Amino acid sequence: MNTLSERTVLTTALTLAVAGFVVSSTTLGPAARTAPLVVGIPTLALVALALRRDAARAREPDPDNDRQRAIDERNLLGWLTLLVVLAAIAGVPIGVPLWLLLFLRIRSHESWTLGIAFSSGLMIVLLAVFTLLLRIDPMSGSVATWFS
Amino acid sequence: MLHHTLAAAWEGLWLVLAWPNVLYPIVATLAAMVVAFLPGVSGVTLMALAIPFTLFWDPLSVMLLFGGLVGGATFMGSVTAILFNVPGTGPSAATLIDGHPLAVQGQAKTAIGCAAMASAMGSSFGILVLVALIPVMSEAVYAFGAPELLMLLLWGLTTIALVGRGSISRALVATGIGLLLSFIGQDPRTGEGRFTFGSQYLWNGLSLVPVMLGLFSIAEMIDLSVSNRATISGLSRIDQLSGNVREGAMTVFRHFGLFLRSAAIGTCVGVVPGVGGTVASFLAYGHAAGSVKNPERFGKGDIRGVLAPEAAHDAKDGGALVPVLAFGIPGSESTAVLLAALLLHGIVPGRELMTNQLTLVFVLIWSLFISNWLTSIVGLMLVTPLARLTTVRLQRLAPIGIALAAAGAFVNAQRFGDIVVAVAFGGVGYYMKKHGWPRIPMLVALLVGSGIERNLTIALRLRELGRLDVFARPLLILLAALAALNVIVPKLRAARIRWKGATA
Repeated sequence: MNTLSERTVLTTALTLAVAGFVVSSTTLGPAARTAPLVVGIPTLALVALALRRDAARAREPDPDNDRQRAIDERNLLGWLTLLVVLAAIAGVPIGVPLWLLLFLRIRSHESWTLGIAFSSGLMIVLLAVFTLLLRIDPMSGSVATWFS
Repeated sequence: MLHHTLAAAWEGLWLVLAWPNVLYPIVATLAAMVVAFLPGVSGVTLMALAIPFTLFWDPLSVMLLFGGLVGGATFMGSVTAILFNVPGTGPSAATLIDGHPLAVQGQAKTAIGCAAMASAMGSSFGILVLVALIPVMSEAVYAFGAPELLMLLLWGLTTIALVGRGSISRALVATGIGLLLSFIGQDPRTGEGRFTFGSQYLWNGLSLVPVMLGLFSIAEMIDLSVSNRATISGLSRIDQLSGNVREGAMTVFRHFGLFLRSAAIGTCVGVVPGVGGTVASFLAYGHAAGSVKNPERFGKGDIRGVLAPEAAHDAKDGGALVPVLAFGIPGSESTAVLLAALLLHGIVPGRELMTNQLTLVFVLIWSLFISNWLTSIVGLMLVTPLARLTTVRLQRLAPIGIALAAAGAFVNAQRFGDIVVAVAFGGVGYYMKKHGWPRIPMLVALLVGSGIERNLTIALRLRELGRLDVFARPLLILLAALAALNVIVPKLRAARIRWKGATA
């Protein structure tokens, strides 16, 4: 997908989101829907105009198309998904530092020493914040606690 | 009254400087600075955490501590805005427009130096105005009813849309989306769920912290990670960085008129309850961009674009204490928590506090004054190590930033959904940045959306009851005209340029 059509996809998504808000507002009571409709309708008009402009430009040749960057972006979005999954499974104080270690080693090609140093430092800080400051279970957010 | 005020100010100063009282604002300031540098944990969080630990303290100690906490957090939010394009607080979003480009150009030291000096002097200005206003507080606050507050917020939002980089219509769309996002959750009047889709998580609305962390912190880290640059500044050694702290600090004196006007804007907006520092910062930035000679560099690294919002942002603190001390009406998140702290410690805002306990008020004011200067001085001492972060390899910095943002999103309210929101908005924010959609208007609109809806509802109700005579409210007309001009003037300018081009 080139940059211009990617831009059109983004604008389409924003248009659909605003349209969703407007349509959903019509199901609310009179008091609850006033502000969303007052804001949503003009916003929908403006974003629809932006979509028309972007869609027209998407047919033009795109000099900025960078395939390697697009691959890199998708790779990074995959890493972000992994972050959420690890935090869900292992809890934030363990899952997030583990993710950091994996990222520094695999994607950033850093040494084990540096990876372990940063991730263990982060783990210590998070455990201290959870147990000493916030006084909550350090495994909060872990899927494992759902079964305990 | 003046004699009484001056006597209370003098007594308050001696109380603050006495040993060991002076330790309270110093420790509070340093703690707030450390906390404010971490994504997701703001100075307001620290203030809220401090309340239960200080329940049995005497009122004097409480005022000393909270004055330090209020002043300590603001500057570090600007530091992250300058270095990483991540606003530590809402008001810092204005600083990043020109502050981060300066860091990218290797001028981080200059930007931080300017921010530190503008911050300290701006807060001093705000405090001076606060002291001068003490005898006449009531008229200033009562001049603003719901219709005026609504217009002021709309003026602020349109200014934000105007001064951002890129197209104004896109900025207005981003503003509209931010407002719609702020409506998620329970309707404040009827309790009806809006846009929750049956989700328990969305019932309380979208929390600002994960959205801010996602839109800015995670999005910026994604952008840095996929960019071709090796470091933020493109340089690998600290000695390669140009820029000078002293030069940045002296900017305030070279543009002293702009500083005074920006600080005045911040103080005036700070006085108005429910508006907050974000609007103050952007109004000052908009004024600077529109009033100075040679504004072409605004948005690309003009030091005046750092000076104006920083001066306004910190001047606002003094102004924001006016409604909270005189009437118990908080003007911002930090003053709302401050109010809670005061009430829990038996310190009741109002006439009693402003007359018989005026010394306590000045203890708070002097503590805030010391905190602001201490923040700037310590911040200046840390400029070189902080600027060094712009020479760290991005492939090391980016994952650390993402990990801290995700953890910060969770620490905020201990809800796993906040991590999902932060990551989701991180992706959205990245693509918005990539394709020229501004993010700041969306964030600010999310911040002020509930205030806009509340005041809109009251204004509509007043109109229904026949109690809204627009022509009897000159302030309302003025603010409405300013908001309208913000939208119309750029269109007229663009049309004039096109007409000149066509006839040339």
